[in-house]
Amino acid sequence: MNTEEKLKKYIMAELMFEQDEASSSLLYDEPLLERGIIDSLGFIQLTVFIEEEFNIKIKDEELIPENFKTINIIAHLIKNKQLALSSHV
Amino acid sequence: MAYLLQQLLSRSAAKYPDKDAVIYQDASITYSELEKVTNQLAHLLIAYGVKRGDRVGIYLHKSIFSIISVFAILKAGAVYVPIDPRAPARRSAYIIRNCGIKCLITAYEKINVLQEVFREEWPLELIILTDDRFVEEHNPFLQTQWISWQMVITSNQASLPEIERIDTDLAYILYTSGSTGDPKGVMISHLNAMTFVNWAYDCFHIVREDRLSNHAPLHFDLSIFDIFVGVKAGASIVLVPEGISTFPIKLAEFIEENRISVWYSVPSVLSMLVLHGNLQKYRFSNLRLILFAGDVFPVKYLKELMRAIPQAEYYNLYGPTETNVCTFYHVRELAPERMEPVLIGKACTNTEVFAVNEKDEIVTQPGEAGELYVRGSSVAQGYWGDPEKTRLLFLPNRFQPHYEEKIYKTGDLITLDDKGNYLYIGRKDHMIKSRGYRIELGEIETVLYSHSKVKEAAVIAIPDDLIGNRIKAFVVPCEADSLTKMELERYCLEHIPRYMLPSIIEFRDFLTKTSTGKIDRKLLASER
Repeated sequence: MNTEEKLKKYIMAELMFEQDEASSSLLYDEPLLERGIIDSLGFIQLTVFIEEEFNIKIKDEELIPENFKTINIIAHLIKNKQLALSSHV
Repeated sequence: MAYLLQQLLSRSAAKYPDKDAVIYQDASITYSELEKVTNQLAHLLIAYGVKRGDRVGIYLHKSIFSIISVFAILKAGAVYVPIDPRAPARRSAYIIRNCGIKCLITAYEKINVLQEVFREEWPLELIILTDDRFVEEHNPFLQTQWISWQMVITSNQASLPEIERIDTDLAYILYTSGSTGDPKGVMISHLNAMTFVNWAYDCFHIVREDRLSNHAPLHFDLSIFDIFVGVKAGASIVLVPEGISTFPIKLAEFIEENRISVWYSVPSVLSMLVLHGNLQKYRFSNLRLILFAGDVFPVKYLKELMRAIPQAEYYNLYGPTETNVCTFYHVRELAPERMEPVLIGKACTNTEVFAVNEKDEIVTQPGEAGELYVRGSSVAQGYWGDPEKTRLLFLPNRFQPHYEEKIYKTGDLITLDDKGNYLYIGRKDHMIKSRGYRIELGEIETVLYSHSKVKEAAVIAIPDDLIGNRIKAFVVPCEADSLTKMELERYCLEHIPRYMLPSIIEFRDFLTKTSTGKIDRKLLASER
């Protein structure tokens, strides 16, 4: 699974309580905040998942709505952080 | 003398007509505008049949419209009932039926949800829509009358409606979690609310220069302070948009940019702010007062917050919805090594609290524990439509035999310190707090049991630093492997709000019983 797919699976299972991936129409550019899919309860849960799953640390400055608008945008944030991490090594 | 909540608005509108009363994102409304539009809506409500004492529902996301609705309903002589717009539709429907709401102020987007849950019997006779959608076209319910917002603002009846009310009349009903599986409606009179509002106004010296945040939703009793104390003072009330409290950095920015001077919320919001708000970036030079209530504030985060915002005064407020706020404690410097939680303090002016020990004597000695009782005019009138439950908790005062009066039994265990301050210890029953929300574990168990594939269920709380408690459910399915976690979660969400959903669901083959045949919850809790 790539980053986008992992995020979609997690969001659908843990934040939307969808059992069957195929039955739902969550899009990669679905506005997650506007549609209330990520709310203040789910947000903390999601950030903990991202940090553990992708082995990155999200800075406080990055915890802003601009970075969590859609699955594509969250994936972009994750990939950038992974890239930055690997270029430091 | 103002003795009704809506009189606070009329007075401030006369004194400070051009001052901003409510601010929400890019919109704002002045005191004179708020006075006028609430008069207009109140007249329409009356003209369309709303009578004194009728319950009128507010089913809206937070905005200036919700504040207008509150005052308009009161001015029509009616009782406002806030309904959580995010709660499952069935729960909202229960509230509408339970207190006999016939008139609802809502938005167009909610109509479909309502149609869905009220397929059998449509209870609403009058609907006011706050968005300007054309209602006639979509009106499948011939018996329902509709008022559009256009009709409200173009109405030429803008004077204060003449409705006689007294302060023992109900002002609002707030629904909280009930152990039997249905929420219960706490009935608050004008006198109950005014007793709290007057105390808070004096105690915290709220002035018209203040800018109060409103973080709590209307169905949460913390909103009473923001709205009515703010309006009494002629201050500006800045509504915190829901999306902003999700992001601690945005919330910090919001407090700074809006020059908030008085903050009031549950502790978990402030803990998140300390942990992820990047507070060192800001000075919050206007922030003079930080109030918190609804839960125990973890001392380590409170200490950090006090270091980050040193100029503010900090107060811990305590009180179940049934008593508004009944005790308070001024938190001064906390020693770095201090671990024990802050006190809930002493009774507010014009309220009496006392604790009763197991021998049914009033607690007087430091260190002694007991259950807290509250006496005074801030104590609610009971639960709507539930005299039985009301009688169980709103008791005759057995410590004073000369005349009839009621005291409220909180179910909270406390001890006394040597200066006469109370310290909260815990609950006598299965009620818990999570993110400041009051949750009856029994309500969750009832929902789990109602699932056809569930044989047994027990729900426990796991203490959590950040949010107070996490909820864990143990479930025995009727047939092994016949039920999935997700199926159960989705089922729960049809019946209970998101904040009540167990964060952990564990399937078991059986649950151990105590000698009296009850599920051994203590054993389950000790397993971790």
